[in-house]
Amino acid sequence: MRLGLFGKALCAAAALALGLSLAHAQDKGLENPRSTTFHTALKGKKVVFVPLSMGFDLTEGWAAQMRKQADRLGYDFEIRDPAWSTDAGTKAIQSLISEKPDLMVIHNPDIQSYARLLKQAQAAGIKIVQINLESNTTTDSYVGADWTEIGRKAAEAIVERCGAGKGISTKVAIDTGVPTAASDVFQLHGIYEVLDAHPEIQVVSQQATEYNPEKARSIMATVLQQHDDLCGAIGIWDNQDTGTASAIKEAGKSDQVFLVTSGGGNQVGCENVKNGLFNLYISYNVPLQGDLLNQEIVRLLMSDATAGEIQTMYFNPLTLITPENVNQRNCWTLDDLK
Amino acid sequence: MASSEALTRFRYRYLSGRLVGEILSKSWIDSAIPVAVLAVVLVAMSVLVPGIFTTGYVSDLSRQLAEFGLLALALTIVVMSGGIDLSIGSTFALCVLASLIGMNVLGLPFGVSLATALGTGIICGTLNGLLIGYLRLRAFITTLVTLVIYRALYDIVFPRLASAIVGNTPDSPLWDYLGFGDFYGIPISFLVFAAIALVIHITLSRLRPGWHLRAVGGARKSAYNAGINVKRTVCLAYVASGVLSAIAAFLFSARLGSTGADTGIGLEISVLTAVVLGGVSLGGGRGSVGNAIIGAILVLILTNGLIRMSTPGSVNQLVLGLILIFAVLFDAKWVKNRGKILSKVYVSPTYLALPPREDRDLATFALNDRLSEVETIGLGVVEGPEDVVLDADDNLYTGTRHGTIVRFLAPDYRRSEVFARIGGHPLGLAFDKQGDLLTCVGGMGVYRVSPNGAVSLVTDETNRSWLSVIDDSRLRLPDDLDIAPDGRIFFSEATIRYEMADWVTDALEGRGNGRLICHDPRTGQTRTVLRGLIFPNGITMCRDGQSLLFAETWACRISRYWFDGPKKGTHEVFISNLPGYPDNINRGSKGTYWVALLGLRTSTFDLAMRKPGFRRRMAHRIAADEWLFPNVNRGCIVHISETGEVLDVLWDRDGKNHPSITSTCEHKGYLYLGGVSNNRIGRVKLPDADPEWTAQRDYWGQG
Amino acid sequence: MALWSRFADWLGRGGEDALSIPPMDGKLKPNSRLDAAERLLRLPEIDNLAILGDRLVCSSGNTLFGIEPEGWRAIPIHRFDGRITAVAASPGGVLAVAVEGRGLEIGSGDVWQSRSLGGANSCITAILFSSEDKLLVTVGSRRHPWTEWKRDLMSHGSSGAVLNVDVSQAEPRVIRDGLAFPYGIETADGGELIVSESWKHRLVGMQPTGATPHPLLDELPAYPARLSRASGGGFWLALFAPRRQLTELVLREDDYRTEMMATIPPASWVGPDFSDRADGDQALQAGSVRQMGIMKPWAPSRSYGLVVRLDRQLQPVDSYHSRADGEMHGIASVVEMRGHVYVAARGAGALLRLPVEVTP
Repeated sequence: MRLGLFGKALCAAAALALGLSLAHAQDKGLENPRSTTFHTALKGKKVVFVPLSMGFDLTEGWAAQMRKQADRLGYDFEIRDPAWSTDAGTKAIQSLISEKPDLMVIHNPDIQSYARLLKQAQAAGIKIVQINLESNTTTDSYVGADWTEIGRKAAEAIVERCGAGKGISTKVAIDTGVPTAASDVFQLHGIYEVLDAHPEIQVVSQQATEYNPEKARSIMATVLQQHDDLCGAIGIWDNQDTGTASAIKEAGKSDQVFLVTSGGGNQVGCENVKNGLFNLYISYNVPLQGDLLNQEIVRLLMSDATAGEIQTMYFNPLTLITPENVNQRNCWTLDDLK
Repeated sequence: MASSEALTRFRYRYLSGRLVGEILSKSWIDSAIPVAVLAVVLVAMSVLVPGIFTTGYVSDLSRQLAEFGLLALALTIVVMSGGIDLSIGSTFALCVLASLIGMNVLGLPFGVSLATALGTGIICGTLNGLLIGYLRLRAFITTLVTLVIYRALYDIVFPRLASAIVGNTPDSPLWDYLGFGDFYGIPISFLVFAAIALVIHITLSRLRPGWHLRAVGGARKSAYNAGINVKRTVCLAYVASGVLSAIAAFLFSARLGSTGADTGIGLEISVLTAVVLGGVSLGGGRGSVGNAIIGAILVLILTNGLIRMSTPGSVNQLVLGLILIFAVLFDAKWVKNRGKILSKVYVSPTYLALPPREDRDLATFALNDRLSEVETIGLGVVEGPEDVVLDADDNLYTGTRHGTIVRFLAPDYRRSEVFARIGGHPLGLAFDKQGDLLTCVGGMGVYRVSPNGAVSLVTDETNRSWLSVIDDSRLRLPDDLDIAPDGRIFFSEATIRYEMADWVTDALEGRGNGRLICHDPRTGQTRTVLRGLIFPNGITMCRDGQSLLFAETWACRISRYWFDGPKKGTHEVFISNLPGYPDNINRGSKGTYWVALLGLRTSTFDLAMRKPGFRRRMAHRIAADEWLFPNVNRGCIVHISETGEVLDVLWDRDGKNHPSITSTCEHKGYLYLGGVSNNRIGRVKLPDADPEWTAQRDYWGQG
Repeated sequence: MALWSRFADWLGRGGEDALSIPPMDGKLKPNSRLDAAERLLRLPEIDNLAILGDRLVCSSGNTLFGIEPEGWRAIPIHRFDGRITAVAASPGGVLAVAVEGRGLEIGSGDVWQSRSLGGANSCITAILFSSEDKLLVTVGSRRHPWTEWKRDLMSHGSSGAVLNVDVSQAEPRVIRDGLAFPYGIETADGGELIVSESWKHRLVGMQPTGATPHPLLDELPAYPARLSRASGGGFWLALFAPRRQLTELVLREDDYRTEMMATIPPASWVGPDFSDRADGDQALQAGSVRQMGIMKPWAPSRSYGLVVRLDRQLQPVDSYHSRADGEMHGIASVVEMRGHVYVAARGAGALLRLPVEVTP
């Protein structure tokens, strides 16, 4: 048929419109090679977690999150539980060195016990992430609190309350946990950094409670008997400081003694802040640490670098919880993480 | 009936069942059970945790074993001395602290730190030792208190120095080498441990301090009475424990380089579990290095395996606790019942069929009163005169159950004196060419007494046979002997399975447990010549100088054995189917022999010998006093010819003086009678015997 | 349960209790009073004492004897055709004598009237006059005659019976059957019959009507024989042979026991007897070996002498023994007359006299 110019333009437009509409029906998008890699690269790998012990909030929280990711990404996640025994922990790590998992997540009871073993494990090609409690050996990654920072912040809060002329006295009690653990040695260093600048503060007691709330309670009860004008107390962990707090409450000095503690930020700790047992709670935020841990695990498992070749660390930010900011965001329960 | 008898005979010939009892009686049986348990656990672990036994793992295990094993050794020494050391964990912690203070904090050289650690261990151990050994305080409470004290010391000192300890690393290559060096793949700490274990094993099992330790632990009062310094031994046991703990602590510090607040806590429980599981008896006196090591390996494998299987930590503790309870219960029951079980299982009667007694014997062996006019010698003076012999001067010699040889002086034998004191129970007697008296002493061996009464040992052991579980190089019950013309001494050992006091049980067994042994004084060698004889008893030389007669008591027969000549090494039956149990045989005048029958066969006992199951159940179930027994309340003397014909039989009809006779000796026309359960010797005149005949002359010519 | 007991046997715990003998302790503590007692006369196999008026009668073998109190001589009364196995005297002076194989002979002096009891003739073990013309008779076994009492023991015999015999009537009435060798009978104050069941080593009581017997005195350490009344209430019990663990074991060992019974004469069997004879084929036990010329009193022996005084409730209050080293064994018959107790030791062949001491 003979088409005029207008007819030709009309045909072309129609053809274009048809072609466009056909093209739209076939568009299924593009495969994202990074996503595919991300979800398949980790299948079949093995990650082992060696905690201080299972059965308390910190390790249960981290384990829940690590397990979630392991299920999501298809790698094997196992826990070797030494139940507070350093000896059992060293045995576990030693046998793991011969088993050669791809990655180990290590929670150190003190800064020296696992040090040589971690060196050996790295030399054997196992990648290591240390969580929250460090050792003297630097490994592929560290995720956790900066104890020195915690110590400084705690001491600063105490100085606020108990400096010269500010409180009922300048007496402060410190209860530590395990003298050779990272939470003790580095935190004490931070505390004394601040306290040395304020010489009027008097440390009347510094004792190790070995994470035992009953021991903490009896130590604080004795201290209060000896120094009933105690102004402040620094505890290194909320789980043991429930004992310290109850001793203070029994002596009826909850308003007098300013108790600073630190912990993972779980709901129980927050409750204790709300009802006045803890005056300042420095939280290192277990859910946040769990996410960071997961990210480090993925990064190291996907990395081609050999174990120990590249060493990173991340000291996560701290949240200072006071009665005013006890809320959903700052406080967590285990069910939330599962 | 016949087929079941044949079956019984077959069964008891090849499946004797005595091995179980013999193995149970061995002293190493206490260790056999833990070894078996270890084997089971190893197999179980390799099944449950595949790939567990790699070289790397074994190397780790050996490093752990070095420290744990030393602690197990320390506790074993203390437990063997009859005590317990609950403070071992705290001592360990203190010594770790001392080592680390020396190396890390003070930067002392390797040797000085080692000395510090050892010194701490010695002080801790000495405190325990003084309190328990010298002040006689109870071990459990005392070590519990020192546990608390040492722990408190540690808790006071450690926190102050914690930062210093973990902050410094010592600069000592020897320290590092000790901690994680190895020698051709074997960790150094393990080599140190192995060397120490070897030294302690030799000391405990072969040297005097070890014997003293076992004696004190096993029977404290007897050890004291034997002259052992009990207090010092106990104290030194605790000091040794302290030293070993210190070495273990030193190895631990070298390996880990630091210590924690929980070092050594709960260690006493796992070490105690290891010691008990390994087979060391908590009652004291029993144990060895092997036990400690097996127990330590068991506990380490169990704990490692459980950790490997990712069981929660609390479950591990539970499992270990349950195992400890089980092990302690088993230990208590085993120690209490071992003797009882052994005594039940050990007796293994076998089938022994004697030929039925013949009627012609009834006439020959009819009861008479030939021994009624017996003259009694030594009534009440001697007890258990098993054999009697006379010397060239007509003096009468006999052994007694008090371990002496008593001499009655001729011619009236009213005066007596103790000729020699040997011990045991001297049984068979014989004079040799030089006039020395040779005697088989039950429980000891063969001894020689010179004419002036000096006692010397001839032999108390023979060659050990390879296939015997029982150590048969020892002589348990040498019974009778005789001397060949060239001076060789042939003697019988009645049974190798029972000691002298239990010979009754051998009657119940009826096994060929005895043997014939030859001792050659020219070479000093003792060799077993015939085995598997059924309670060989009396021996006498035949007049051809090449053979001897020996009696097999429970088999009621006498056999002849050639030790020289063309028939050398063979033996054949001389007289069988005797109506009683022959004991000693001796020569008589006119080429005859005298055989003493110490008891008579009874139909019920002969039947019982064909029913081994019945005898075994009897041995298990009823008291030893009640067992069926051969009739040894009635015996007689049989006079036989050179060819084995019965010439005469002499009885004591009423059984008042000589109900059971074990030996006779003819001398110058008289017959002298002895009995092992009697308290007198008898003498009866033989009207038609040669009045000048003596055994000395018959053997050696003019003696 | 059988499986468990087999397992327990294998472990070594099961059969033990079943073989243990109650110890002679308390009132039964061993002594030698029978050996020390006055010996009146010697008569071989003296047994079956009875009181006729004011005199004793006894038996020895086939002959019935009367005992003269002056001089203690035995005067024969009558010689029967078989062994005498039981004797009783009525209040009116009539004697009943059981003769093995023939039955009862009732009469006195030389005049005797036979009374056959059928199958029970060969093993009448005890007779009691319940009235002048009624007798209570115990039959030890219907399968074995009295002389074969050992065979009955070894074959777990329980075919004995208690019969009520009327002198005039024909048929004896069976009061109770299936007893294990009843060897003695007496009446208690309430009329209940007391029977000693020998192979079960106990005294059982039953009503004369024949109700089920119930044990009155169990766990005796020896085999009980005749009972007789004691003055002041209570009874005298003679026990003729001791129980031994070896006997109990052999009773359980069927293989050994059947062969022993088949091939060996009964005199040589393992088991109890009235006396230990001297012929040498007797089964000896390990503890019975003479040491240093002495037989220990506590040695196991096949025979023993035991007389026990029981009170009204049949509890032992006193006992007289002759131990392993003594001679007065095998006592099957004991009577009390006029302040003295007369004991017939069958094994030794002697008549003993004891004064009555204690009134319970």
